[in-house]
Amino acid sequence: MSRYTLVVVLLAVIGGVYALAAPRGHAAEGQTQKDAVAAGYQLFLTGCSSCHGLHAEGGNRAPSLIGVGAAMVDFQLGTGRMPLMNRGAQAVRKTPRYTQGQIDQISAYIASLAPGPAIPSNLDYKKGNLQEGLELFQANCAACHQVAGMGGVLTYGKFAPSLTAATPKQMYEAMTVGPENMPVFGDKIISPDKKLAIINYLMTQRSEANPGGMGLGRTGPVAEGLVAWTAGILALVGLCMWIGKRI
Amino acid sequence: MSSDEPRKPEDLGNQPPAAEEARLRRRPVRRQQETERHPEAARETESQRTRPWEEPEYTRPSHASEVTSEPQAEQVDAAAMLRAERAVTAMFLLSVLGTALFCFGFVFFSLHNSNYGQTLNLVIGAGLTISLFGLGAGFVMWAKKLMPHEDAVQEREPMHSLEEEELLTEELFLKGADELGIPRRKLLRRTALLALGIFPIPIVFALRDMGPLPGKKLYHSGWRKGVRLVDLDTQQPIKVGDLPVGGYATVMPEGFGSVNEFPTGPTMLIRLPPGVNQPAKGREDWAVGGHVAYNKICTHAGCPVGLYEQQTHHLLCPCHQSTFDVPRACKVIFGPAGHPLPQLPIYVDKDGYFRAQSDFHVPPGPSFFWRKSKTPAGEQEAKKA
Repeated sequence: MSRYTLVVVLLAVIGGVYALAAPRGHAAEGQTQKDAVAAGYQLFLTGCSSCHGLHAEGGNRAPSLIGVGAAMVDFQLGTGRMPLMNRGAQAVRKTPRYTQGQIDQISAYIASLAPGPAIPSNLDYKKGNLQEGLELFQANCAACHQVAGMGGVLTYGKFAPSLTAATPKQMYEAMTVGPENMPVFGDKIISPDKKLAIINYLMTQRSEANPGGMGLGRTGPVAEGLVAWTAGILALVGLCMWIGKRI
Repeated sequence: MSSDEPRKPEDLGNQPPAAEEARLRRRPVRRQQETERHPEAARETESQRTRPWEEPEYTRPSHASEVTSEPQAEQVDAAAMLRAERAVTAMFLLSVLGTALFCFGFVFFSLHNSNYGQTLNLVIGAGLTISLFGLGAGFVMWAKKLMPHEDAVQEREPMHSLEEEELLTEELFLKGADELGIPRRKLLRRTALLALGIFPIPIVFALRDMGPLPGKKLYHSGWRKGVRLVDLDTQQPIKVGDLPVGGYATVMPEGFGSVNEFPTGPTMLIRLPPGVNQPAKGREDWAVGGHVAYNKICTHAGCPVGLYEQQTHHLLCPCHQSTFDVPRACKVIFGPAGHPLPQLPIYVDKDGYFRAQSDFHVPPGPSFFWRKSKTPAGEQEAKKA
């Protein structure tokens, strides 16, 4: 028996005894949480650490993730913005690379590093006041995201994304953590109830009919005028020429 | 040959008396005056005229001078004519149906159904389209199929006036001036010029009466020393810690009542990450921690500058893309704005609430004509930076 084997065996025995004797705080739940953190760390090492550092401390290419909270991770991975495909002015929404289970594990790992905004649960946004939601959205969000939530341009190639694909959870997370250039709307400025009102406005608006027929991306009178004047007039001119030829 | 008959191009050269008559009829006034003053002129014959511009050199071409006509198939073939008639009738009946559809839609589809009138819009829109299309197509087909086809050549009238007319005008003008005695009657000329010259002055008074002058209002926003910063929406005073890093709030002076009373009052309270703010000279104590307050009204056209980018710390105006660099005293880095956003000096009271140290040191809101170009300490440094 070599010296190394002895060391390994002894370590195994000590570890085993410790594991048996160690106080088990919250029993199974704590254990699954630990497992999730461990699994999340493995996923983090494989998929994220090349930019964000081996311990999420950040680097030249990516910010530190210590203290960003589980909500930020869930938002970035859940909307597919991370992992980044290529470095541009801003990350774009893609099909997520991870399953929700994996995302939860990575979120658990990041959340274990330092406290931060948690993933919201039970978002009963239908209770939100619709009218208040509209007013809040107009006052705080519409400047960038456009009043129908269709998105808009910012400076130097950045843009406020369209909100038509975002889930209520992602909207809530975005307001809480302020991903990329979006400002953070803390609970003191927009309370959780008001956040739900905003979400209700956005979700309700999706199912609204377009009174004029085609919505044209709901981007407003400029798009409508453009279509009317180019497509409409061209069609009429074409029709006139056709009539002139045929009859 | 009567003058009513359209003339052919070959008539243009040799000017029969009828054509000359018609030409003179186009200036009836002049002709009449001439006849009154010089009765002998009326008796003048063609050969006696001495003034060269009255020589009949040119006559305006008449309209529709050349017409060729070909019979249509429908005019020759009775069966074809019947078919064409039926087609036109069908178009008019289609129009009737469209009109009926419009009326039907209005009666049977409510504006207040669940679709916000979408069905109504669709039905009356389709009705009107069909109705107008049927009418238009019917008339076009009628003209095209059942009327004789004519190729008409119409010559354009010359763009310039006839030389004789120009000379006559000149003559008339000089004669008029002479009869008025403008060169001789100095007093009349001068008083007329005086009267005409001062006539536009009342416009100045009318413009002045368009509203009360803004007075000092343009210089003040409603902020004053010691007033607390309250959220525009909730009207709650804002404490240190309410804003997370990277967050902002639109604030107003406490007790502002209505934004309309203080249109340049809305101010952005932004919390920058530690160490980001680079205060301009003379403004070192205007911020609290990372909290800076800048007026929200664009200095270009007065739009609310609400687009804050928390990573690049830019404030973007949605109207004309003026971009302000928040950590560097909201210097304009892009767009048409001419001045940085005015900074509101703030402090924190012993209870932790944000308060204003004073009003803005420069006039907030869009620039105006008599805004002093010489700016107080701070803004100039911000411009240079």
